[in-house]
Amino acid sequence: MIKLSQKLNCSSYALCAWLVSLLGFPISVFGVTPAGTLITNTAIVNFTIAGTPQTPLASLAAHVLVDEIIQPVLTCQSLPNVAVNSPSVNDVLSYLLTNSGNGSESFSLQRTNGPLPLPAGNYTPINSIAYDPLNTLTGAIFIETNNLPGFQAGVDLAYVPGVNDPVVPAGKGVIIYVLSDTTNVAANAQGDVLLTVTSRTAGAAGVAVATRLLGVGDNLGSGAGNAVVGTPRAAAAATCSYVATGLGFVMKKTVLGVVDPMGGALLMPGAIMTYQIVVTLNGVGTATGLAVSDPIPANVTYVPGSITVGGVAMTDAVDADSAQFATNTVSVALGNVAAPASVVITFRATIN
Amino acid sequence: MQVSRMFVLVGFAALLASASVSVFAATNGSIKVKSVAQIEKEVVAADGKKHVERVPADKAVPGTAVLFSNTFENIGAKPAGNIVINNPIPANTEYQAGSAYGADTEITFSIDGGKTFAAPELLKVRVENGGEILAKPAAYTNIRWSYKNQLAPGVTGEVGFRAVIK
Repeated sequence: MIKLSQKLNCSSYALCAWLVSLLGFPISVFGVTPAGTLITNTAIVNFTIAGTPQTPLASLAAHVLVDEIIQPVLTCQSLPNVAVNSPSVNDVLSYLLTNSGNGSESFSLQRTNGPLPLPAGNYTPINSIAYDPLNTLTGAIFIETNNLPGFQAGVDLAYVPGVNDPVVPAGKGVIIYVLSDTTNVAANAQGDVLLTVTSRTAGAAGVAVATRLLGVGDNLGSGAGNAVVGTPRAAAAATCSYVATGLGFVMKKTVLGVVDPMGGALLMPGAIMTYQIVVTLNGVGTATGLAVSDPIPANVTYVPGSITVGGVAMTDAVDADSAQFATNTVSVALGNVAAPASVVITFRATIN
Repeated sequence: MQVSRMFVLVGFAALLASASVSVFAATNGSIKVKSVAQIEKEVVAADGKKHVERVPADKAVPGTAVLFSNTFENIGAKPAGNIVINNPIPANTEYQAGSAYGADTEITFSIDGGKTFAAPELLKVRVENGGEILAKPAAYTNIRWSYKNQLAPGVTGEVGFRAVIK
């Protein structure tokens, strides 16, 4: 494990595990023998009788069956703390669950929202973030499903206990997302979410390290040996945190309308799309040096002179007005804006 | 089910280590040899004294040090000579430095799968800058015991080593 982290130059075991899982190395890079491996020892004896060499003799083998060790590792991947608006919805915290044991294992997930009580050492109460009451113990937990970085709503699976508990192969990792809503809270209020993963092997939860579990249970099939608890309570936990910014900032970009060459609204070459960006500031305070820049997407061409800010037409040149078009990017320098405020920017582009 | 029963029997054979007859040992009529896997556990006796007890190592987790021992016995009528025992280090284990033992034997090691053997201080590996360093015990592939004496009929010898499950 240590050698690996040096080679990959990754900062933590969990990160290494994640990198390794992405790289698709077999578990042997961890040097841990898979559960169920049969270790065999045989010795060969050569000897002579009255000076005459005899046929070499092999001992009957001694066998050791490798037990499964249950050893989840959980780390918070959302560092630094996730800044959230007040109010806000569906802000994402990311955790990495890695199976550092030697057999495939299934885990159940549970979230505990701050404020107190949270286990000592995992929680620093500053203020409190009010969570959406729907965020229950197992609510709003998602499992990375399409291997694309970041949470994708509608793609990454919502966690349902007992239905899609993640099964993690030995040495592999899975990203878990936890979503929360924030109500109106003071600036810099911190809200913590403790995520706990627990082995679903029967009898594993809550028992001491080195407890040997006999008989059938979840995934004990990986080897037909015993399962041995490798981490306290066969579980792991990590805390990620939100912090409320004093100033809420939301930017929303939409296609306001399409006009095709025939006067209709079909998306086709030659059609002109009107993009709208709405910048909303809420909370209390002033955003200083607020600037919006939006690169023109591929396959469309900016319509010269089409930028408007607050309904007022702007020039493309770098001049006295706040907008410009350069290096295929629409930029608007809004300067100092006091909250609450809403600024609407539009521009047009032609589909190539 | 069959497999697990075999383990139980191997463990049982270990308990019978001093017994003169065991169907689990290979023999050709002159020498009988068997390999056993055990775990050493420190136990405290009723008088408070600690001693190490060997228990069968039929199942173990990675990181466990397993004691592999080979007993050889002359069950023939004539003395056996030039006894050499070659034990490849089991796959998925690492030899534990200094653990090989065997009375009246010369113990050498191999780092090339048993082609050549030498004492630990003579086992060298080349490094990138052209120099040579001593091979690490974890790199040993085989252990060889050369019994210095003749093994008289009825006499038993034991050699062994510890290896840690990777």
